[in-house]
Amino acid sequence: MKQLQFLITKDLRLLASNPKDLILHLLLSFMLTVLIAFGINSYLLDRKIYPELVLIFTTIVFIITGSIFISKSLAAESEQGAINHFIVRKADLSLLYLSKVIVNCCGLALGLGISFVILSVLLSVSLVKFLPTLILIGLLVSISYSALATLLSALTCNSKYQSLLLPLILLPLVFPIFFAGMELSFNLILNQEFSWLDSWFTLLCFLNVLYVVLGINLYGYSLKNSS
Amino acid sequence: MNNHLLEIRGLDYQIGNKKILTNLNLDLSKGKFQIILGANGVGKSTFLKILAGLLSCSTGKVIADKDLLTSYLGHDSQLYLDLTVRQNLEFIRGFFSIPSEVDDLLRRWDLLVQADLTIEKLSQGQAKRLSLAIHFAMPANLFLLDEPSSNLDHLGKDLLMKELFQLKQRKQASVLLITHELSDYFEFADRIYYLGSSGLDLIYDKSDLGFSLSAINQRYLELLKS
Repeated sequence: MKQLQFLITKDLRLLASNPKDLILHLLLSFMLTVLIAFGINSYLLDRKIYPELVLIFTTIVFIITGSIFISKSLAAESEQGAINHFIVRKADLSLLYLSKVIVNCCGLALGLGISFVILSVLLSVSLVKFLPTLILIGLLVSISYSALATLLSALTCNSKYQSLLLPLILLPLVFPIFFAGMELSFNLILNQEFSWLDSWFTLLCFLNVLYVVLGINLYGYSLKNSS
Repeated sequence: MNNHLLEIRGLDYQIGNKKILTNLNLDLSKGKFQIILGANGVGKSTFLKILAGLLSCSTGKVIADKDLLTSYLGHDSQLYLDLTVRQNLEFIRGFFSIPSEVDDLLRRWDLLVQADLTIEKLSQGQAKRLSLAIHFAMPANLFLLDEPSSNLDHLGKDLLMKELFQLKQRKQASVLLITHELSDYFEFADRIYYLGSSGLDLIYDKSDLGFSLSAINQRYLELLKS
């Protein structure tokens, strides 16, 4: 646990001292969201479907900008071979994975929050009364997305085309996460229904567990084979 | 496994169809200081990476003692460029349970003034000193070093020699070092090997008397020319 604490502190310090990837992620989220909101307003669509549009476009922006952000998460380790310390000393690489997942998840959740708030404000959609449940869904989506993307970033970290490769590999695998997230959110906003026993909620929880367990077990193997 | 930390038997390494290392055999004894010499591109660094566990050999065996604890320093600095000198040390010290205090390490390697600078702002020699500080602070009984004095100024070399001298005095740790500057390390060497295309040849053993540095240098030159 103490080792994990050291890793998280290190990753947060790295993020703070070189925040360009986080800034790029947040800036892209902001710009894409504003553009989308402007586009929707210009076409004068039926206002009833605005809440759905908020959720759909928040998700699209999240997938695009999140993969760019996470693709760089191993750069600090591989740049000057700092990862060698962990491999040579046979350190538990799953701790490295967990630290990356936690820090990446914080960055992703921040981007998701920005997109969501901007779209809600610009399209005048009030979702305040659903906020606690929406935050829970957003958090679960962020964790499973971060868990999967962090694992795949280890596989692609030595590729020249990582920024392109990661989203391509990631895309088919993240669909279940986002379908579950959107179905739950639609149900909540349109039908005012949310149940802990909802099959979509079960699926989302299952994917969280699955991707985190897969990541813990495969991250070290992926790192060693890509280094 | 008797007195050896590592036993290398019939080690081959190839990338695709290109053979890099062929039939290498070596015993790394406890408490011994061993040097590997060889021409550029012959695979010395690759060999060290295999011993460190960073690469896997194509065929052959690397048998490790159950108590083996390795510290490896290659050509990369193995530092986090965006962290400061102090933050790098704090992380490595905390994660790998290094007993030395951060300030002691900074003082020992003459890095106190640079403690709050990021690695990117250091000179190559200063960064190398920090890498060496981390390398020697790691609790280990096998130190693998690939050209450790590259980029070091006179002061840095002096600090490195002091550290190696202390290691040698304690007789608890083994060192395997790759270098082209034999004269710097000759006084520490228990054995010197030459890595060529046919494998590893022992060209000096401290127990055999009558070998001088100039004789070894002459032999090394002949091997390089052949």
